[in-house]
Amino acid sequence: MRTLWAVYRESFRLTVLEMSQYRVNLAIWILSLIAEPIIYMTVWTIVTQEQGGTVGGLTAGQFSAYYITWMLVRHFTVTLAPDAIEWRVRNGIFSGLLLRPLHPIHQDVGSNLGYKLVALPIILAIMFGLALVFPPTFQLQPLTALLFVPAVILGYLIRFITHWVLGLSAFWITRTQALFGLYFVAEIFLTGRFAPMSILPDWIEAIATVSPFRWMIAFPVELILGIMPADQIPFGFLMQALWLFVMIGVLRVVWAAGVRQYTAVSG
Amino acid sequence: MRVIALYFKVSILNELQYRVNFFVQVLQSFLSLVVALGGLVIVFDHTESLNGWTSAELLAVVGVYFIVGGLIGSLIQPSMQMLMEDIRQGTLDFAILKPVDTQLLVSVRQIQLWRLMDVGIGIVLLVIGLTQAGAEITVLELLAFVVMLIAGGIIVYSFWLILATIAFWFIRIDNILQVFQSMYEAGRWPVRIYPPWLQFMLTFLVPVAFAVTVPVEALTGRLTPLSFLGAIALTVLMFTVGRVFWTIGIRAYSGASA
Repeated sequence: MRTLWAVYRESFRLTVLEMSQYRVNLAIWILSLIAEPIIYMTVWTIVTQEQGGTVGGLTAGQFSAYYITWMLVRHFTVTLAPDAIEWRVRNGIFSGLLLRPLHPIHQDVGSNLGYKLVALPIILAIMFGLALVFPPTFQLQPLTALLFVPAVILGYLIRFITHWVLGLSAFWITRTQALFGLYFVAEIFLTGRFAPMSILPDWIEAIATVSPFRWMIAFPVELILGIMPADQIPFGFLMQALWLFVMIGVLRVVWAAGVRQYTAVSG
Repeated sequence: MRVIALYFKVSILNELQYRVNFFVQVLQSFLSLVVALGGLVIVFDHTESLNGWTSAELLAVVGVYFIVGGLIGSLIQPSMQMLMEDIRQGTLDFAILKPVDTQLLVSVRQIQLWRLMDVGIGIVLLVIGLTQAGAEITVLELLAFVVMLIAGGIIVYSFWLILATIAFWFIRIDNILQVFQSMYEAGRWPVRIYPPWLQFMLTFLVPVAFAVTVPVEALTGRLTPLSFLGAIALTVLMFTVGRVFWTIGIRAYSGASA
């Protein structure tokens, strides 16, 4: 347990140092992240105006609160892209990682947390700026605000492990881009990225509910904003736990089979 | 002209060797179509018009978004990315040594044939959208559309050239590509719906407005003579600035060898 902690701490520290060196790169990258929520926020704000105030029970202020919170949750649940894992498989990077006594996934978690910390001030500043342009209406409850923390952590873990599994598919598939493409389209509609769940057609909402997607990002957002009815909150945590459990199982199987399959050039 | 034709031919032959890329592109085009249309369906599930634009007109916007995106992705971006890579690695020497204008050469060196599929999809969407909207298009409007499309293309090209030229001074700018793409996404909706400061950015910082919205405005009777002339003026300006940037930039270039 102590070695695990040391690995987390060191990879965290390394990433913090590394990222503070490439500051311009970081700023540019974060800029590219804000375009999307602004687009959707604008579209839905206009729709609420056209409809005389509310759409699907949400006001313009609530939409704004939704996307601002969504940005924060997305930031907390940002994980290594599947492409990065695939790159390791293709280029034999795993050879070195496999020699270490610890599963390489731990190091990723550590450096991921480092990234989140370094970029957090920028994200908060952007959220603040957006709140000035699109005035949000927040109604925070102490209990849901408290539950928000575990919901985000669980969402992050589900997303993180799912990306790892997707990336590891490169052990068997050569054209992984097609698979990743499908995944990202599903993500746009099912994680509440395009619109809150209550706005989506019922059948999309139903798919989102049984899939892991809703529980990655949409759930924490709806939880803290009070959009989700209180009696459904336990169900949400249950689904999160279930999907985390399933994904860890899948990861174990895929990882074991993948490592057996894995051959690398050079020795 | 002969140089351009020759380079296109080589690129096309090169692409024809890799058939699988074709199917990958089919899937990618299909997925971005799903995202674009899915968004429209969900939004118009809740409203009849968006700031005066009907769903049929927005379909036309998505059509032009695909056309322009396809043109950029197949003709402009590949060469510009190759240019940035060459500057970074110092292999631009080979292009500079050739006895034609270097700017011309680096702008036509590579094309991605299959990306042109998006242009086809875009035309289909545009025609469906315009028919549904019941638009009666005069010859003049069609002409204005084509002129605006070309002007938008030149603006985007100059924009890319300026960005790529910046690589002469700041070597690593691969993130720029990502920024452009995420900003270009904004073009799926008419630029006029955004808040003024964002409209400004989308018009002058990342020229999405002139690439997508203005051409559609020409077809839907929204184009004012002022924005027509403005687009022409900006085209000339951007092209000149691009050329000047390039000339200064190439002097700052130092090769990797020799």
